[in-house]
Amino acid sequence: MQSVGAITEAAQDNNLLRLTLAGDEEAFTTLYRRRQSAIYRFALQMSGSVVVAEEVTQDVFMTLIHDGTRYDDSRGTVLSFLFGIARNLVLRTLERDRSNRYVSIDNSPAENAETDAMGPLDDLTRRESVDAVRRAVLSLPEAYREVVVLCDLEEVSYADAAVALDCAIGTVRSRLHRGRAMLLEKMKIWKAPAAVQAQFAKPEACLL
Amino acid sequence: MKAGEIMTCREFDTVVAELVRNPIAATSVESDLDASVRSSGAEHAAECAPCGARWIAEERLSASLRALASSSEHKASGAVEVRLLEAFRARQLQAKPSLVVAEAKVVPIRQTKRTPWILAGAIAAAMVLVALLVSVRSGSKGPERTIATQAPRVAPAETSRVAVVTPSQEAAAAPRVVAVRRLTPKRTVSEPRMVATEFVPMERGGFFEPMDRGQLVRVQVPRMAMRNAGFPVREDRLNEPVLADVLVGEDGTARGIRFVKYTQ
Repeated sequence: MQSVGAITEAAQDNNLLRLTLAGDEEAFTTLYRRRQSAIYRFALQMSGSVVVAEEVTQDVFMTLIHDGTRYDDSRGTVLSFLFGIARNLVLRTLERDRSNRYVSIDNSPAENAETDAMGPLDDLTRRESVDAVRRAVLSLPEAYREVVVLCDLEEVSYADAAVALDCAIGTVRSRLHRGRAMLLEKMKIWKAPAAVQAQFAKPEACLL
Repeated sequence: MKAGEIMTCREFDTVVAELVRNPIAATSVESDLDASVRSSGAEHAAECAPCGARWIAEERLSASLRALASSSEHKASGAVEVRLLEAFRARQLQAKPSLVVAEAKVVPIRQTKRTPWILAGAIAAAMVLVALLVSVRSGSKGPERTIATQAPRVAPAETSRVAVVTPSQEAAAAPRVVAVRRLTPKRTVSEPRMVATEFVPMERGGFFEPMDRGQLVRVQVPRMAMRNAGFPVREDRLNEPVLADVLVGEDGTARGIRFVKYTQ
């Protein structure tokens, strides 16, 4: 289910794509300007590289020019179609350049050095800095990263994310749940206490 | 979960992210959580200290992610849009093979890391010079020119795929040659035909510099530019847009301009 605003946006995208495929340059330009930043940000948050983000953005719309007729509006929105193309391109690029792209927040010496010296609450402000979040997101496994980037950063609906990622909505939801839990631990915002973990292991023992 | 049921910690764990991401039920149109689950979750967080801490942590995480999202105002550079528009136009030309600029050869959209920036610079230079043509020369009366409509020549078939074109020495040295070419001697009535003026020099001295390579950049300018280039334009149409091809040399300077329109 989508909001009225989202439906209107999707209808406008649909119309722009139809005109684009009919050769309307202005429609293509409008569609590009409406959606390019979302695609760029997705590629940037997934790869951590502005070069990859720029290449992916160009290739996504190049694909739209040449293979835009592949879009099927019964399967999802134009935006989810574009995210799907972007996702495939990003994963291909990451696979190709795997050794250079990964940035692990766990490997940051400064991060680990301060963990022992300062309490988690004292260091919260620094830990919640944008840089730390970015690195934490980048350190997630791809399957969780793409869901977090799409749903939490780009605020794409579960339905659109499912189309873009070619999986079920339930999978999107469970990956998002797991991805967020991993982020909480990586950013040292929260870690399930042993007692709670034990409760999760034995749900019948839960007191509440 | 039914209203009035007590939520367990495990159940809370499965819904806490959803509760935090969509805090207002009325706007969470895609959330499966109904009001009873929301209230049960809130009650559970209030009574269970570890889950209350988890709730707060999830809220902090959401705030951090929002901060990251709002810091990402990045977008692709203007050069990407330029390259895409070139590709789009090339695609349209492929779809209409009878509309061909003669003696052109295909230049790949992505050649090297350097090329797009040169092209972007060339386009920027062309735009500036066109703007100068509109503004600086306004008021001066140039020699009147007419739109040439000479008989079209047949271009070789391999020139039909045009992205960025490279005019020949002949075209550069002889600006009065009309650039109305097509592939086939006969065309159907419904096909649009490109009509173009001769190239008008844009550099001081009034003549093209001999050059090996150049690029044609398609831009849209006010008809005022046509008048300033010496073509007759009615007063009431001076602000109407008209297509123009700017001939840009390898050094990025605009060498000439011609005006284009499509007719049936």
